[in-house]
Amino acid sequence: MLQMPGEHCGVAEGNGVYHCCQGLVCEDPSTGQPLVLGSNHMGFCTGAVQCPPPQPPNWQPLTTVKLRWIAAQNGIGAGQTGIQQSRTIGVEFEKWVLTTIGVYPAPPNPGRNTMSFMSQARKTKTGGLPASVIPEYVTFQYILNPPSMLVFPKSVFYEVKAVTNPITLGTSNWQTYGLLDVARQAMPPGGLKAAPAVIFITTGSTTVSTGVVAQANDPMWNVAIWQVETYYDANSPNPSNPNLSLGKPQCLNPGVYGGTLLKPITGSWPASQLTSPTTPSAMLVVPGDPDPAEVD
Amino acid sequence: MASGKIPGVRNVSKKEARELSKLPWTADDEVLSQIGQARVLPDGRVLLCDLADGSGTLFPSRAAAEEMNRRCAETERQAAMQTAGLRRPDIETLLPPVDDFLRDVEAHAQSLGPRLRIPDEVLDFSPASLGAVDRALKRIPWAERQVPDLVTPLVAYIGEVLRRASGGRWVKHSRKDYVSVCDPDELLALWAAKRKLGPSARAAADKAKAEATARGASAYDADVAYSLAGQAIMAQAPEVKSRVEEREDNEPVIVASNRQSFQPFAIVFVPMVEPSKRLPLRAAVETALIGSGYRAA
Repeated sequence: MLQMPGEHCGVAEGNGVYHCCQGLVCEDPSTGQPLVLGSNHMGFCTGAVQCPPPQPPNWQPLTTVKLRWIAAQNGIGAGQTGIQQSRTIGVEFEKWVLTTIGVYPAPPNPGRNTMSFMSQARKTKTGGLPASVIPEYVTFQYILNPPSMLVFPKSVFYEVKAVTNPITLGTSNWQTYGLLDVARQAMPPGGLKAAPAVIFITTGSTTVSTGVVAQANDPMWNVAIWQVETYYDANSPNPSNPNLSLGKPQCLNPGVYGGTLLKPITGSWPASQLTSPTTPSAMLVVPGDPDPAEVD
Repeated sequence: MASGKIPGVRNVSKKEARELSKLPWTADDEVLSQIGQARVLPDGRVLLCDLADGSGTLFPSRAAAEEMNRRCAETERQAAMQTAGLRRPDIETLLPPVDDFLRDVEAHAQSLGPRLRIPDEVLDFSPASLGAVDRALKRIPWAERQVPDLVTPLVAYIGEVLRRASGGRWVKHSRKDYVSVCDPDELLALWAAKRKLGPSARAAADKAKAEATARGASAYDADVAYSLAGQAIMAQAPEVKSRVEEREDNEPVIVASNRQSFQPFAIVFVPMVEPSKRLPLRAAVETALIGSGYRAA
């Protein structure tokens, strides 16, 4: 949020960070010195405003390097190093994604999944543990059975990944393989044939390997793989904490739907900052879209 | 149930699997019947090529393969119970009923110190106090942490830390969801039948795709032909009668003063299942607070 002369600036507990427009200084009223953002104090913007006219968003892939930079600018993972810092940033990214798609806050939204799903396939590969997966969000979809629609329970599995390397079956100790395995166990109603889905919501430029798609395509598995990439606004007036946005969902193996395309995920979410994700006013995770839309 | 790793079992790349498969192996449908067809090598090792890309798993002996098969059968039964709507959610097995938990939450939180042998004065419900909890937890292997008498006080204490730091309150969060309900034995029979049909389904799918490509079909149409041919074979598997039921899950959560929320059970339980999500509890809680607009200290 950009503030004008005389308006407050700094970190407002519970309400995010307020920055001054370009050319202004956020001044600590008690010292008259510039305020250090992130110090949990409030100040006032002073000086002559030079805010440029607003530019339209310029959405660019949010790489893990950019995500780390944004996190560092906003004190996320501060004082941490190595894998702990990576995981802290990953937790923050996960929270942004789950809030953006309407999983958080809970209530009123469903919240993060806390149910583990047993996976024989993962157990085979790990030699023991982990022998299950715990996807971030699990929901149902509808399948069309004219003239009605039937619920296909626990058939859409979301996983949020902030990774640089391609997502392979072996990623995160065979977690991806386990996800595909639990998805294929989903039981369509009434003996109907329908493909369960695994949806990866990733940083930008993250790829899902051909090995994952090939495994999902196997007739014994027949799992749809979807990917949603994340972008940041390169024209943001607040470059240290730009708006992030989820891109259009892409099905990586539409052939598994056998000529029709069930859309287990919609593609319209609000843009917001990493540190203050916007929760949609209405639940935006629409579990299944019965409209057999065109192949993307 | 033995749960340790089976000695000598390792994953092999596509290239190594291909090299091993040049040896005069014999097919064995039984030794790894839970997973797929095994190739018994001349020296007694057992090769499983179970991934679509041709890579696989190598067992040092038939006995090791049989042990893995037995363990996988147990896991598959648990998975069938879950798919059939008969497995209780983890939260129900690790926490008391939500109303009881919320009624006794302070007592549960105060039981953490004795459980982990941490002096009461250290556990002052500050985020920093979780450093002592992290140190104490290091004495307990991850595989031994999924027990109610540890998870319950941990969830209560972490929730109290979050509640106090965020000016929040405990809430019983109820959510409805759907489950398929069916006979798990029928499901196991279905999965076994699908494993048997797998090779012929793959062959039919490959043939259909090749024919479609030869006809000049687009890549998408060739993929559809592949899928439809494979599914036509899979349709020979027995049908499972199922019905859809609505279920309600309950979880104790913290609703903060700014209406953000925290799921202390998820903070405690998810890392127990997923190693890639492991963070010290102090870091996890501080990150949750900062990410929701609160100070961690």
